[in-house]
Amino acid sequence: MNLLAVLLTGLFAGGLSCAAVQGGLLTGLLSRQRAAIPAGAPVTGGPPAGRQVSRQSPGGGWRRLGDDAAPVAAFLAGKLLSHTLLGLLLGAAGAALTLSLHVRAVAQLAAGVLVVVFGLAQLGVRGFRGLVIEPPASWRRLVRGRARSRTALAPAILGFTTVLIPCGVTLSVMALAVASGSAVAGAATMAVFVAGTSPLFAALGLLTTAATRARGAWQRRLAITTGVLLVGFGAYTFNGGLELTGSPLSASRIADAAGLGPPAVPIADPAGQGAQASADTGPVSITDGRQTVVITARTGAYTPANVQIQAGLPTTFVVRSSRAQGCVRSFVIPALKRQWTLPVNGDTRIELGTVKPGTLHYSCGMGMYTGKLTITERPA
Amino acid sequence: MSTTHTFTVTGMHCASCGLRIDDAIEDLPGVRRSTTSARTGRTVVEHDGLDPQDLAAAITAAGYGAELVC
Repeated sequence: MNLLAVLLTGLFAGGLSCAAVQGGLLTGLLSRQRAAIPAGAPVTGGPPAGRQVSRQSPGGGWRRLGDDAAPVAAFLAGKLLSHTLLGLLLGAAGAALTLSLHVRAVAQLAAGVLVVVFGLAQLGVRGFRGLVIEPPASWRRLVRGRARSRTALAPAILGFTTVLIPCGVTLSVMALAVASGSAVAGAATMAVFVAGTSPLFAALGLLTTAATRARGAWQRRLAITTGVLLVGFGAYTFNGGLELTGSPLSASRIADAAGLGPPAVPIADPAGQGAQASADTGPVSITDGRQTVVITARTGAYTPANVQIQAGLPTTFVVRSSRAQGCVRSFVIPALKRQWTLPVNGDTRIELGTVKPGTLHYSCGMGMYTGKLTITERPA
Repeated sequence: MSTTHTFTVTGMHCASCGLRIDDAIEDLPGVRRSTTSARTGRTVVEHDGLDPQDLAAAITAAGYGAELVC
């Protein structure tokens, strides 16, 4: 999972309605609390004065912003906590799905479609524009109740409960958390997203009236940027599902068909007897009629991405982990319908049997990183 | 004597918008209850005989478009 892209999505989404409007809820809560204190009004008293009046006291803007820092931090901490916990659960659910390669691929395809649909809704594309997922009324009432609470912990609790009212962007990131296939990755995905929303949330959400106008001017641009990011993210996730199923419609297969795939590393010493796979001889060695091909799995790549090997030889495929982290450690060969968990360092030996001419594709467990063995006829 | 007015609201994207509108309306003295649905794009306000224009103004001030339905 590319957390940087999630962070960027959060950064832009932070200025959008779902995040910035939550800032409005927090602002209302703080205004009511402040309005109640100087008047010495009982906490169960009538409605306070309009928040915009209290928020625009002359010369008090910066001081007020300073006063807001603690409750805003509490709100964001509560929000971060609940979303990270949810990410943990979603990732764990995703991990349960990954037990089967087929289910995992289907889940990833579904997540990809969902994210693209929410991205199109964000972009205001006809037919998707009206897509609004509304949580149950009881959940909304619960959040509203927290927004009108007057306890000291109210900002943190309000932040925590916002997990109950996710917008399309948040739902998209939840789908990505499921697709991440691990509890830790799911938690990280949600945490990074919420952290990303924080700067614009703090900037726009708290500056009530002025921000409402600024938000109007910027919201469209932010919505388009977030929408484009989501559509790209969804397509990337969907393609990962296609890679896992070995579909000819996956990006790597289409690139191959168009002649844009990585060039095959040729067999350095086809007749090399006793040669060991190394930097000098290339990744392929043939000893006593047995072929061994070695690729390296590092964080974010398998190298070389395309290796030429000979058909008609019993072949051992060695995946050499070198400080491998993340989803490269989940290694999938769709044609064999099998997956392996690679160590951080060390070799994983996969017996391919006697290989036939063609191409053997492989990928990481999320279909993000791919590679292939190009199997050619033995030279005459 | 309680009165109910319904408004069509534009510009909502998600449930948070609905909550923000209800929050703003319920700050007005004389409002008993406000219920907004982002899905239907409607706000139903139960109040003690307020001017519907004031209710619409509260929605507009929160950053959304409002039109009285009934």
